[in-house]
Amino acid sequence: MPDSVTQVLSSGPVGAKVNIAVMGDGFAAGDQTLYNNKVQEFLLDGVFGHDYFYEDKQAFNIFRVNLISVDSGVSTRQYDEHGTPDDPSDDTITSTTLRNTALGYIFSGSWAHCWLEGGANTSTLVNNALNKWVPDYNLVVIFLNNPNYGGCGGGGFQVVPLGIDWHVLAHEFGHGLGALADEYCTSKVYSGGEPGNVDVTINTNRNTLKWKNFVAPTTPIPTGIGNCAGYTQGTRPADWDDTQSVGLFEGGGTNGTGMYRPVINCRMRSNTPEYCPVCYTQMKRINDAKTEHTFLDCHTGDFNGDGKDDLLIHTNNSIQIFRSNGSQMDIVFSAVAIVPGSWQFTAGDQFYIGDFNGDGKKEVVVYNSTNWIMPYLGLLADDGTNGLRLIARYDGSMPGWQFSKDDRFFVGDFDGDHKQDLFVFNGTNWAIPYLGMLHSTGTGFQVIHRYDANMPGWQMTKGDQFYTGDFNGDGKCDLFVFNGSNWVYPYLGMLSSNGSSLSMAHRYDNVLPSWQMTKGDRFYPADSNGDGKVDLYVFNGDNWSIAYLGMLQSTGSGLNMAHRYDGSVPGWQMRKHDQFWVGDVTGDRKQDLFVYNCNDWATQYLGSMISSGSALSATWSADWVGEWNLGTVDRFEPCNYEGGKAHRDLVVHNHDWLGLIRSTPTMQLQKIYYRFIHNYRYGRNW
Amino acid sequence: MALQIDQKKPETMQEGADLKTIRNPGLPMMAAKPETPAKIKGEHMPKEPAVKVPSGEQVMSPFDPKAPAKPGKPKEGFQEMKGHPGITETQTSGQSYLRLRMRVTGDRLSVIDVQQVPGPLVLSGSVAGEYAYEVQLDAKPLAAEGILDVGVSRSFPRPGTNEHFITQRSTFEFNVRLPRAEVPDASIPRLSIVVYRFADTSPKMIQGRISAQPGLQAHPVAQLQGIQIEALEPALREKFQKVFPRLTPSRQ
Repeated sequence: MPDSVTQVLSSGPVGAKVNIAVMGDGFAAGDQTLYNNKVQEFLLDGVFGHDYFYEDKQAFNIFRVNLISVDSGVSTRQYDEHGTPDDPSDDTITSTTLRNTALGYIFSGSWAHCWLEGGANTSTLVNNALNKWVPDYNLVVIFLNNPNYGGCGGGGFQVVPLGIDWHVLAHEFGHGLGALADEYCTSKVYSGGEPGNVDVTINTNRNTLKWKNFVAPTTPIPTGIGNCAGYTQGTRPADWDDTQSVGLFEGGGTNGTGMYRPVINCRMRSNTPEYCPVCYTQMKRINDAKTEHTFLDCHTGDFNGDGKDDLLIHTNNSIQIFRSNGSQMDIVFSAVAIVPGSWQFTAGDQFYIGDFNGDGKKEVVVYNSTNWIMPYLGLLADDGTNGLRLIARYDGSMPGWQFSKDDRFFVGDFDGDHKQDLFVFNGTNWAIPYLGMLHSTGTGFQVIHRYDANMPGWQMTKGDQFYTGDFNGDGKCDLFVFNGSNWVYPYLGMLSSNGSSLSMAHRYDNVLPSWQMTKGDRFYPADSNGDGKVDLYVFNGDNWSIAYLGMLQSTGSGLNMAHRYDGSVPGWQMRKHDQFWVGDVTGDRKQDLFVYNCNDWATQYLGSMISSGSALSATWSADWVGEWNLGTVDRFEPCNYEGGKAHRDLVVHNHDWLGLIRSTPTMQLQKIYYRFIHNYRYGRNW
Repeated sequence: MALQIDQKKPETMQEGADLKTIRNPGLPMMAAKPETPAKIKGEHMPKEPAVKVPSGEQVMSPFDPKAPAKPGKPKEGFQEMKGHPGITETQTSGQSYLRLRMRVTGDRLSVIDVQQVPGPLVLSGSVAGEYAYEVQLDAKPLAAEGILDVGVSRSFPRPGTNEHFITQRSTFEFNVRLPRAEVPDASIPRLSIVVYRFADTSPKMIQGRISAQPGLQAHPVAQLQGIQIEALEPALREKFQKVFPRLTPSRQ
C-alpha cells in the first residue's frame, strides 16, 4: 500500500484558505483504517463538528496524508525523572524501544518532555512528507499510533497520541489560529507589563479594558479578585454564564494572580467549554476573510416546523442555516463544498424554498445550470439533526424534461396534495418555449404535463413572466402569465390548475379592468382581501406620467379592480423605482405590501402598505430603521421569523450586514449583525 | 394636482394622506378607461394558438405521460457531480504562488526551502499574532502575513489539570507566501524579508509598508536582504533553480 493523500475538507484554493495537514506515524498498512477513523473522530467530527470551527469550516482545507509505516506503533522512551516530573533537566533515559515508522517520533509519556519527541531524522521526514503530499500548510497535526494520553503543540504543529479527545486539539488551535493565550492559572504571580494577547490583561480600568465592548455596565470590574478567582465582587447574577458572560477575573495566562482573564471558564482555560466571546471574536476576525462569507444570498423558510422562519445563507461553495427563536438567529447547520447525499455547492446554485414533502417543514430545491458540464436539480430535506441532506438529484434531465441554462422555477402546490410542486419554464434555450409541471412525490419530482410552445389559450414566447397563486381558491396553485414585450400589446393569462394540467380561465388582451397594460407592469400575487383567492397587485412606474398601483381582486375566473392608486397611496408618494414585497403585516389574512425606494428621493424609504381588503394605507421609515442605515445595496426577504400569525418581518441584508426588521406597521429593527451572525450576551463585534 | 418635476432626487417624501403626485411630463397619463396603446411590435396573440412544434435538434424529445418516473435517488447512490470547477480549475488556470520555508535563529533569518504552489494566492491585507513577516521587492511591499504561535513548545496538560509545560525555542520556522507573477527570476537577490514583532496579537490592517505605519508598533527582529543562491546548500540551490530557471548565481 503506497503513501497517499486525501483532501477530507475542501473549501477552496489552498492559497485562499487555512490549510491543515494531517499525518500519522506508526500506522502500518493494516492500521490505516484506524488512522482514518481517528482523523474523522478527532478532527472532522470533533473539532470541526462543533461551535467556532463548525461555523467557519469554509475557511479551511484539511489534507489527510496516509503514510505507511513498516512497524505498527511508534517508538517509545522511558525517563527516570528522579522524582521531579516538572524538571526535565535532571532526567535520564532509562530505555528506548525504536520502531521503524514513517516519521520517527518517540513517545515518552513524560510531561516535561512534551510527552514525546522527534527522532534523529524526524524533522527532515516531516518536511519531506509535507512537501510531497500537501500543496501548502498553515497547521500540521500528527497522530502517533500509541494509545496513551499526551501531546505536544507549538510552532504550528500538534503531535498527539490516540489517548486524547478533540477538545484539547481545539484548545491548541486557539493558540495556532488565534494567537490566544492560555487562561488557566498556576501559583505564579505576574508582575510584568501588559501582555499582547487579546484574552489576558493586567488592566483593571473598565474604560480602557481591551474587551470592554463585551462587559455589561452592571458587571463589576474587576469581577473576581484573588487567586484564580471566580465571581467574587457582589452578587453573581442568576443568568450569569461562566463561559459566555464577560467580566474581569484574576488569574490567567498561566498565573494565579496579577493577570486577568475575560470569563470564568473559556476553552483556553479548560479545553471543554466553547470559546468565550473575546476568544471567539479573535478567531473570527483573524480567519473570517478566508470563509468568503457574505450576506448577499439569503433565503428564508421554516426548516424545522416550529412556525418561525429560519435563514439559509449561501456563499459560493457553502451554506449555513440559522434557526430563529423569534427574535434572533443562531447557527444550526454549516456545510462546505458538499452536503451529505452529494450535492456540491457552487456559486451558481439557485435555491427555491418550499414544503415539497408535506411534513410542515420547508425543504430546499437547488438548481445549477452554470457551473457543471450539465445542469443539476437537487432536493435537500431535513437530515434530522438541524441540517440538510440530498434526497433526490436529477443529472441533466428527468423523464419529460431536459434541464438547460435558463430554466426558471416557480414553487406552488398545483395538485392540492399539500406537497408543493414546481412549474419550470424555458423560453430561450430551445426552438420553442416549454413549460413543465413537476409534481412532487415527497422524495423527488415527476413531470406530469409539459406544454410545448403553447398552453391553452396562450402562445408562449421568451418574454413570458410567470407568477403562482391559487386564484380560484380550490387549494390548487394556479398560474398567472404576463407578456408585455413580444406581442402587439400586452397580455395577462390566468391559467387554472386541475392538478395535472392547466386551462385558461381568463385571458386579458391589452387591458385589465381599469388598467391599461404596458410592458413595464410588475405583478405581485397576494390575497389582498383575505377571501382565500389569490389576487394581484400591479404596479407601473415606468411607462406613464405618474406611477400607478392597482389592487386587482380575483373572482375565481377573472379580475376586478378594487382600487387604483394614481401617483400616491395614502401615506406614500409613488415613484419610478418603488420595489414591493408581499407580507401580512397585521395578520388579518389580507395580504399587504412592503415597499422600498432607494433611488428617487434624497434619502431611502422603507414602508408598508396595509390592505383593508379594498384599499391601502401606508407608513414608512426614512433613512434609518433603528441602527440600520438604509442604502441602495440593501436587499429584503419578507418572512415570519417571529412565528406569530402575521407575516410581518423582513430580513434586510447586503454584503456585510444583516438585520431583522419587524413591521407593526412601524418598522423596528430587532437585530443587526456585522460580517457574521453571533448573539453575544452583551456587546457585539464592531 | 400633480407636481411636474423630473424623476431625479429633488426632495423628501411628503407626509399625510393628501399627497401630491410626482409627474413626469414627458409621458402620458393612464386613461380612466384604458384604450389600446400604440403597437409594441409583431402580431396579435391568437385566441387559441395552434400547436406548432418544429422538428430538429433544438427541441426537447417528446413528452410521454406514461413514461415511468425516474427515482430521484439511484440505488447505487449519487455519483460525484461532473466537472467541479473549484480547486482543479483554479490550480490549472496558470496562477501560482511561492512558498518559502524560513527559519529564525536569534536575529538571523534564513531560507530553508522553496516550493511553487499551483493556484491563486489571496492575502487578507491584515496580520495577526505576535509576529508577522513582510516581503518587499525594491521597496515595494509584496506580501505580509501574521506568524502565530511560534517560539514555544507546549506539552498538553496532565489529566485532571490545565497546565502546559512550556519550553521556549530559540529557533522557529514559518512559511512565506508570494504571488509568483510578482517575483521575476532575476529579482530573487533583491527580495527583502523582515520579521516584525508586535506589542499585541490583535488583527491589524496593513496598508503599504509595515515600517511606515508607526501606529502598528512593529519592531523588526530578523531580516534577510536578498537571497543569494550561491550561498545556499546545493540541494536548496537546485530547488531554487528549478523554480526560477532564469536565476543564475552572481559572478562575485
